[in-house]
Amino acid sequence: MKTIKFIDTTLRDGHQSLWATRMRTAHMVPIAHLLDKAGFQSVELMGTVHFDACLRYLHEDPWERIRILCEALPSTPLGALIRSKSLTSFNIVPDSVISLWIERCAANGIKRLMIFDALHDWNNLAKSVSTAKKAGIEVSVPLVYSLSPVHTDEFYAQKTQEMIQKLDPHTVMIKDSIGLLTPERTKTLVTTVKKHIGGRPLEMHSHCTTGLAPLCCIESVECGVDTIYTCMSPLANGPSHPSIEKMNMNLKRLGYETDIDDAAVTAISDHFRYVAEREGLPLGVPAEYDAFQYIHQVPGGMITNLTFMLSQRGMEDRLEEVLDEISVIREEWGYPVMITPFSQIVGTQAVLNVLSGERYRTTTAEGARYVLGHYGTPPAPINQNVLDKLCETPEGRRFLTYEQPQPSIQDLRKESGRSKISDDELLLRVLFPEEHVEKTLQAGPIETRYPRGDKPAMALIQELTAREDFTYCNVQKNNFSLTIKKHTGSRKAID
Amino acid sequence: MTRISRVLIANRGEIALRVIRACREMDIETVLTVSEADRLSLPAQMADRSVCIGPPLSSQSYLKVDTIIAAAIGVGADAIHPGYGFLAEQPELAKACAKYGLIFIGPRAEHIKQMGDKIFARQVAVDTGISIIPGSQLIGDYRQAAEFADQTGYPVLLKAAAGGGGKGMKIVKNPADLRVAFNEASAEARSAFGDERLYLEHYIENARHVEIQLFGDGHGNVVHLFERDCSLQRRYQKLVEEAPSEALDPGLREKVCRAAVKIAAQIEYQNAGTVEFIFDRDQEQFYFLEMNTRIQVEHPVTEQITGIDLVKEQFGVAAGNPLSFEQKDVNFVGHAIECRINAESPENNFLPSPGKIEQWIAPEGDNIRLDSHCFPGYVVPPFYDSLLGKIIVTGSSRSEAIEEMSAALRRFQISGIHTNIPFHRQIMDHPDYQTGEINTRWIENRLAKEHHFHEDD
Repeated sequence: MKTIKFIDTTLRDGHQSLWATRMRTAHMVPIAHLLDKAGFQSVELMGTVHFDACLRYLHEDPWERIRILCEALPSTPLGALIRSKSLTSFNIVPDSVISLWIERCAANGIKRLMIFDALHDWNNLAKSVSTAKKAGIEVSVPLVYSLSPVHTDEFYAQKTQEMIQKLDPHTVMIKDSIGLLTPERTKTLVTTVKKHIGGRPLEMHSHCTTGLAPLCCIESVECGVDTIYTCMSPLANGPSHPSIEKMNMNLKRLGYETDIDDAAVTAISDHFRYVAEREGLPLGVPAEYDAFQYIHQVPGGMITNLTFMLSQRGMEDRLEEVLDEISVIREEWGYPVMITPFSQIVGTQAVLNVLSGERYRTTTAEGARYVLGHYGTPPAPINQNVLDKLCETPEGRRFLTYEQPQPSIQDLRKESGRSKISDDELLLRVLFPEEHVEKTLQAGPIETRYPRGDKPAMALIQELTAREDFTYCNVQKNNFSLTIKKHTGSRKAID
Repeated sequence: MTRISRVLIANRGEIALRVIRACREMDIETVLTVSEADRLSLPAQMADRSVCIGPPLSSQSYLKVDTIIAAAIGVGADAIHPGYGFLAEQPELAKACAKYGLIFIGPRAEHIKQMGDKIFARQVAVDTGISIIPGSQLIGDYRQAAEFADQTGYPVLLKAAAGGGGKGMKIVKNPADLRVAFNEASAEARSAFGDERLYLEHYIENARHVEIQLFGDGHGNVVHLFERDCSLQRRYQKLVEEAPSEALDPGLREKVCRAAVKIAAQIEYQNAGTVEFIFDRDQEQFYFLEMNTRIQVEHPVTEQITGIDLVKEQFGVAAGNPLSFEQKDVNFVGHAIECRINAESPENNFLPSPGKIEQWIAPEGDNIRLDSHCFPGYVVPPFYDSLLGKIIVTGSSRSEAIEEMSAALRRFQISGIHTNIPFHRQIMDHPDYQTGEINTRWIENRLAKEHHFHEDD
């Protein structure tokens, strides 16, 4: 029977969904060699927010992370993700920056790119896809799943046809970032998309937000999907992806074949369970079915953002009102899919509408740019009255006649005042706040040492020898006995 | 002079336990009032006796003056200690005590009432020649703004009258910039809120919260016990307190302590009290904020550096004795820091986290003091504030105290409920805190800055 492939996204979406993107390079390196031989088609490493999290919180140079991991996984293609014309931000960045970004991804070792546009405006991606292909990168373009009167199977059929024609990607994926798919809809959607992609492989990426993703993934395989996105069990479930352990087992039970090495997967999961415990980070827990999710469609990360915005004004109690407002705005704004950046833009507008007591009295720069079509053509037309009202705001007036600046890389280099820096550093300086970039560059090389969680005795020895607050230690458990004696100075001996 | 032999403690939690301990040392019998939720609490077990005064909701128990007075008379107490919070700053309990011949261990009812009235308190400060922060004024046009700004002094803050969320807010550092800022702020206010009216007030960029501990005895003595620095706050709730304040040099300290004594002396204040000031670090200027007429949560840091037991002194003064020390006897050595340990989850926007404490392993040491009513198996009730206790560490210097606190927090093991200990650890380990580069907005600014914006894709 057919062999089903898997893409591991523990290092990308697993900790983005469960650990606020705080996994360090050191957490990954000790098991990288196991991940390399565990039988994955690809390992996804970098998303959009990872660059920011690396610089802002971890002070790790993201390009260095890519190089370290590419070296540690020589036989598995590593993947990254870029978001339309925003790349990694919520704003629109110059074309020259996007092209250089893709080239630098390739140069640092990335072999696969997921290039997506949540409006399905393929004009936004044409340049990126051709640049990536030229750089020898495999391109996967997703259809982003959403629930709305316009997001029908016919809509996706048409968008798929256009995508194949305009972009000719290597593979196509169905991306259910909010976890809204049901097994029933999976069946009709996968069958429809499959009809229009020729012989290209079809991939399935579904979040477990409402608890249904494991079923949807299995259903999608039965309808012809070739590759499933999964995570190692400690970072699976909850708002993350199905676990590789169960997905592999379930598909084999249905008679499918896979290339997964169970022993390697077990060891990797042991390691991440250890990291979670050592760092005080949560493990993924299967989510319960949640009917409200299908109504408001706001992803988990954005709910956290909304709660924060409201709490800053002491108005946490108005979340429900904001969620209701979000569904109204979505309709008026032509049903954007509620993922970044649109979940943020629509969510912030909803907070403004609710808190100012008058709808659309004010907006953000991104809100104005969205309704003016700067992010691309929305799936359905924007309500004309809303558009008029927003054009009256200072932001609306400002962006009505705005033209996206298109500086060349040479211009940007000149502007930065640093003629000698590398392209990698230039990109970081153009796209991220100066103080975070500076702090990261000052932090020096990334620390990659970390105890191996799948080898508890070794981890214990490493942890104990690193401590300086005792001179003698004896650990005993069943037949295991370990004695560490610390002699004078820093010399340590292990019996 | 009267002898207090039995006291009714009209409070709960760590302060009830603190008062019980002081009473034991003074050989005073204790009767504790408890709500139905606190019957099995540690102070209830430690008190000589406890009386249940009603259901868990404090409005039906700890805040009921009549019930508390009836309990005091019923058990034959000759005094009531109100602790802090609840009825400590309600003149009604003090008044009722006077009426029924009970000693109220705190200031006189009239002082509670007077200093609780912000306008009266500010007037007392002005009368004694102490600056107050000029209040906000609604301004209609640029001319008015310029006039008022000259009066209050620069920098000034312009904010939308209808405002909120930072829209229409402008800080103006010198008169030359006022006109442009005024026009921009009113335009922004108009577009954001449809109302261009602005408030103007004096703006303190780098504010410290500094408060002076006082004691008056009604025999003409008012003595200060130096300052506490309580600048680390979140939403006006103090989180970390320390004494002395490293923002003050001896000259400034002398000045502000004398100002505080003057205010208390002016009204012949009796018992423990605290005068709070906002200290503008850039201008080295003090502004009177308010006076608290009670023992405060953070009193231990003062006790640690001065060696004076404030709660015991409260009993002495309430019984009519003169203060047991004079100003010249009060000195301080070392540096003390207090962290308030709350049952709340910092990762979850400081949501309260009541529940059963499974594990409670507190750090111990010569320099560590823990004022807490918690123990393994204690169920933190959801009805009251989330304070689990206070950990107070004393060192010979500020940096030593910070280091000791950081180590103590690392050793503090609590499970079953969430606490803000990890948040305190981050503060202790933060270079801004260690170098004193903090102010009253530091925590909120830092939280906003370090908030992680989640993305979904």
